Amino acid sequence: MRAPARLIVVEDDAAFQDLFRAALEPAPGIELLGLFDRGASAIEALKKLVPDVLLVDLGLPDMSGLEVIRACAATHPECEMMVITVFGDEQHILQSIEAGATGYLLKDAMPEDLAAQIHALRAGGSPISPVIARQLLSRYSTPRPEVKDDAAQLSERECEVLRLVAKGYTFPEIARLLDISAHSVMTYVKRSYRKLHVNSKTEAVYEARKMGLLRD
Amino acid sequence: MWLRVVDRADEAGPRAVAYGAFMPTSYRTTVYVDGKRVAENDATLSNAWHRPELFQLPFVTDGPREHEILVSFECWAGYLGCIVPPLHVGALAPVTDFYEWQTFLRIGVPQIGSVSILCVGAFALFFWVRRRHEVAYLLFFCASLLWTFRTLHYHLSRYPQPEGVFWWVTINSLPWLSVVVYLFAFRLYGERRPVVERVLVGMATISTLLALPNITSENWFFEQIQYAMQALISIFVTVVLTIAGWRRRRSEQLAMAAALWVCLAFGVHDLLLETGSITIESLYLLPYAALPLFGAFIYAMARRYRGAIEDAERLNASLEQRLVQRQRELDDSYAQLRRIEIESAKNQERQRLMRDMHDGIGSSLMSSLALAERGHADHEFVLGTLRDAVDELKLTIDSLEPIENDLVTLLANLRYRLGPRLGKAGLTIEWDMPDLPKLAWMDAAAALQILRIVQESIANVIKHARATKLRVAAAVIDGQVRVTIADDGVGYDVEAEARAPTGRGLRNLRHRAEQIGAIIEMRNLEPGTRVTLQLPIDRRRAPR
Repeated sequence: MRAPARLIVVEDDAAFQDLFRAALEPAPGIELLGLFDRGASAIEALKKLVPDVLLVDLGLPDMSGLEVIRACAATHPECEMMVITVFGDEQHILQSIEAGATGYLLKDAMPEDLAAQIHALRAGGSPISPVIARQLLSRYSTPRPEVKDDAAQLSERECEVLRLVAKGYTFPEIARLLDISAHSVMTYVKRSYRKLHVNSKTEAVYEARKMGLLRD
Repeated sequence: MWLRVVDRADEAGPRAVAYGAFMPTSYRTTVYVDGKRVAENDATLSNAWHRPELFQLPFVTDGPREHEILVSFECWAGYLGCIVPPLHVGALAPVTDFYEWQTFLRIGVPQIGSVSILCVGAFALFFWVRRRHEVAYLLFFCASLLWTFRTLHYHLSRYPQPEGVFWWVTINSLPWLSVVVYLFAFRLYGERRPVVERVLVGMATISTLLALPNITSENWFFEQIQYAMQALISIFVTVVLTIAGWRRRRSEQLAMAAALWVCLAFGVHDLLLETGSITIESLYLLPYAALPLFGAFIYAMARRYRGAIEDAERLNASLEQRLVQRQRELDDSYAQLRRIEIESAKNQERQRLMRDMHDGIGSSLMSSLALAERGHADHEFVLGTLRDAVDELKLTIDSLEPIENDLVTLLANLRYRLGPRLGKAGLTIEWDMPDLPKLAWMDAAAALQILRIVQESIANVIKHARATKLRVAAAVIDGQVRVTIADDGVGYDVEAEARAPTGRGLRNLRHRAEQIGAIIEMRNLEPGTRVTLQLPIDRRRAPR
């Protein structure tokens, strides 16, 4: 039996706050550490609390949810971070992944799937849409001169998985097509998310060097 | 005519006799010492024109002693009478110095002047050959040629034959030189004065023709008229140039006018010399006029040349500047064009979204709101409407995703959206998606129509078909992308539907397909139904 997932939620909409409380407090295997309606208070709380999962709405009143994700990624690298989004559109999701998120929740998928998705994320299953897969492929499947680190490139297997995701196949279908386990498929997806995050960091360093903000 | 000199030598050494000028022409000179003929010049040479002569005397003085030297000039007593120069008698060395100095002044300087001027003239000629429209350079060459002719007799020791023609050419060079100077001074500024020019050329022609009889025999009367006309032309040109240059503050014309005044003064001097009013030992100054005259020519040409170079540089600079400016204008106009294009694209997209909102989400939300306000809507209905509205919104968002005309990603994303709902409806999905060519024509509006068509087809299956399996497949057949949505449900009467299309759904699907140039087909399977959507790969070759 695993330890319960300790959870922090950052959401300013009162209706959704109620919804989160109602869905998560009774859920087995989930311990709600705190629910914040401001980014600043969440970041402050993260200095003391150690969550396993962080749920963040992107549109907070005092800052972008991306900043909370970055702060959490810096101090709690083991923490899984999920973005709460209305549409799951490519731009928001990619930015969140670059900031360090490994999953996202569509607001209309709640409430029934909420606990299940949190558990799935902890088990390594990051959701990925075909559009996101396509973007990851177009960004990282060909070597780029400014990214020197080979580890930051997508592997052949990761590319294969993303290609099938981009064509609309589900994880179980991909597992069957590639003759690997569904868990491996999830691992490949999550790894490519991590690489996007790492790359965005090295790219930031690269850009900063180019602009003379950092020295080698 | 005889000259008698007594040489009283004070010092030892050889003796000589020389004279520095001799005129008017062809004197035979014989020198006698103590009554003995000791020397004579070569009278066959037509060299007598103010050419100095030196005779070495045959005795050496070794003490004070007197010698009588007689020099005989065979003087041709023409209209000017017979003028003889003073004799210089004495020790050989100083007399030779005197002779050489005189030779340089009277022959050397005119020679040097003529040669230099011819060189510069040749340079101008080469220049003109390449730049025919710059007539001033040709005129300069003509002037140098005329000047050389005019001063030829000062340094030739033997005149070309027949001598009458030589003199005719020499003397008539001067009026033409005046004409050329005039033309040069005004052509330099691109000016023409046709009347004045014609008068000048006419006068020069008359003067030249008047001199024709002189070729065969000297005619004092014609010669005087001819010289008078030359003087008239020279004075006229000088005065006109002076006035024109002064009025317009043209330094080139003023320089030439000044040179012409010098020429005139020298001419007067030479005339006085010729008539004996000035001692015969003086120099003919006309050859020396070359210096100011051609100095002025060169000054004018150099200024013109420099001006041309400066003009070219200025032109280049301004061209460069204009080029930069034109480039900037072009850039600006391109930028503006791009802005307009972007603006217009944005505007079109905004209009499309407005239309979609108005006809789609907007109207369905409004109608359910109206129902709910009157209490006619139950909880389920409101939920359904809201869900439809959210679905519609999601479709719109998906149609705006940057998928770059990739139909596969478009369909894949739709499946990703609908997947959980299909699972809940108990449908197993069979997904067969090969690589498909990109559809260049598929913009956001077309993408939205395709999404709606496929979504409605799938929604129909969920609502009506009572199916367990749904197969979505795509393939390329005959230059078309064929998307099929097939179920294993109860099917429905396709023929009846075609006869009397009652369902709004099917009519809608047809309408949407038409809008994007696609064809939609429905066919009953046993069991189930199959919807086929045919999308042209290249819409310009779409089947009609």
